[in-house]
Amino acid sequence: MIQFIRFLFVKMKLAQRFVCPLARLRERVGVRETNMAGFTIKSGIFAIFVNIALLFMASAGARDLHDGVQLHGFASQGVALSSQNQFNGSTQGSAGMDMRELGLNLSWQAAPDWLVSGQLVSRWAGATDNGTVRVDYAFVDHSLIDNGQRHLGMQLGKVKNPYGFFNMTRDVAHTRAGIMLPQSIYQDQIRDFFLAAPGIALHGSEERGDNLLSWQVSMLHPQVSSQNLTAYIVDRQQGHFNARTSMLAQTLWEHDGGKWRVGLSLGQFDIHYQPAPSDFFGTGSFTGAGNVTLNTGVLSVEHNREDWSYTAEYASTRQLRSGFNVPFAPILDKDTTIEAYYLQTLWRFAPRWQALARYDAIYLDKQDRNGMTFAAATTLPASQRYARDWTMGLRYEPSSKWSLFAEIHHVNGGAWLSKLDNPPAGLSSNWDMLLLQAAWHF
Amino acid sequence: MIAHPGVTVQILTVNETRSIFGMRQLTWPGGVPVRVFVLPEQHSLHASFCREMLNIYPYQLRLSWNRLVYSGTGQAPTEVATEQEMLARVASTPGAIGYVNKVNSNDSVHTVSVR
Repeated sequence: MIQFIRFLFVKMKLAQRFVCPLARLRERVGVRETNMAGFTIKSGIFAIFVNIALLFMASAGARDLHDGVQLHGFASQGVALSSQNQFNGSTQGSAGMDMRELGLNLSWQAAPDWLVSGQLVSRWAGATDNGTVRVDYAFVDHSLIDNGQRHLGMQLGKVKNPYGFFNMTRDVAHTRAGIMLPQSIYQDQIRDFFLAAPGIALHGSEERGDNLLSWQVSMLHPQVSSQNLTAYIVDRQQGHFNARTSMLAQTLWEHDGGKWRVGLSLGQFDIHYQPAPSDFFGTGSFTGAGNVTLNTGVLSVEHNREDWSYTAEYASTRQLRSGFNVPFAPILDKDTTIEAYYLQTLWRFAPRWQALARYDAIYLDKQDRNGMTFAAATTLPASQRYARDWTMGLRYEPSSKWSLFAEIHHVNGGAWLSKLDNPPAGLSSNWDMLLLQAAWHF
Repeated sequence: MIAHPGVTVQILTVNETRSIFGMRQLTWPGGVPVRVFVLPEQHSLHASFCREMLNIYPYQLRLSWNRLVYSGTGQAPTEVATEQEMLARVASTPGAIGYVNKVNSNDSVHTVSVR
């Protein structure tokens, strides 16, 4: 395992220096010194991060560090091969290795009603993520009521956003059914925005007989600094978003120890775009600062049996846009409804083995599913407005700590591909992909 | 099931047992913190404990622990390698609960049954 982590660390350095196109670009435009200084600081953080992990991994069972203190972590490395379009560093005819996740978390149950926890995550994914170490979450959780059947508590700090079944732990391979989460609902290009945010959350649960009802309501300040969010909402521009206080709520009902799970997540996110002078071909073309409100909801259903699990989620996101006022791109001020859903089945066909089959679909405008109206209005490819993904996968667990995954995707459309990796003009509408991944956790 | 001699509870319902092993119930009546010990998932006793006592599948329990641990909202139980270690750790840890196949009269734990 230690060799595996060292291998990842070496890959990280290579990725930073040679693979990351943004770093290369910055060097080309003459900010080499700044970039190198940044790189040195980042390397130092990586070294500390990896060394802490190695230190604790060296002794088996070290995750219970002290009474009430636990340390856990995870690491994964993937390989992507795609027939067309780029995904996590893959190019036509060559594999992409730019697909890596590292995380380390510490939690301290200071008293039965006080929990302090935090996690650092570092992730590589093509042009969309470059391995920067981030605080994934860091909060204090206090229980106000806990009598066995009823629980009420609150969290303060950078808290995880409950959205669908998988958002809270989306970077941890062992918690996912396959290598990729269904991209229709869990789009990686806006993950930073949806993942976690500084704020306050109230959470509770009520247990009656075979039924467990839990809920969480968060008031948060969304993370909007990612260039992926900008590319997603207004294409590749130089301006930036500001966030306003937003709300997210989830309720989850579990029956008979989780044999049935049904969830509803509802959120309202308000963000405000501040254009840069260079946006949209120069000063004057962009006359207004835009406002975007995302009203989103996900309905989630899962049925678990001994050998089979069936999962379905349906999301609808109403995108209200105003104030952009770009004369040649009225589409920026067009309200649309994004529709996304998937159906998935998992089959545990032998001990340690699991097979996955999934159909996943997203339409960025449910009134224009084939993207033709969009294409006519913008001359951009219609295929960037939808994606239908058939996935078949296999998972083998050599031990409880390791998982090996393989999956194939047959995709029609490119709605969830990052525009940073795939400029719309070069998008292929039909493409296939093979992904392999090794993951470890403790 | 076995518990530390200081734990006064004698009988638990299936739902209470699920709540304890699901790491949702963190204290015993009276306020002593619950300390949960489990065997590895591959251990045959863990699988039969999940099925017979909790009426859930081992993979569900593992997923629920992973959801707590990697979202920061809770902690995982302590894993022990063997039944001997389980007996020793439960006997020596106040508030501890675990499970073994058989308890001998000289083991310093008390048994808890599921109704």
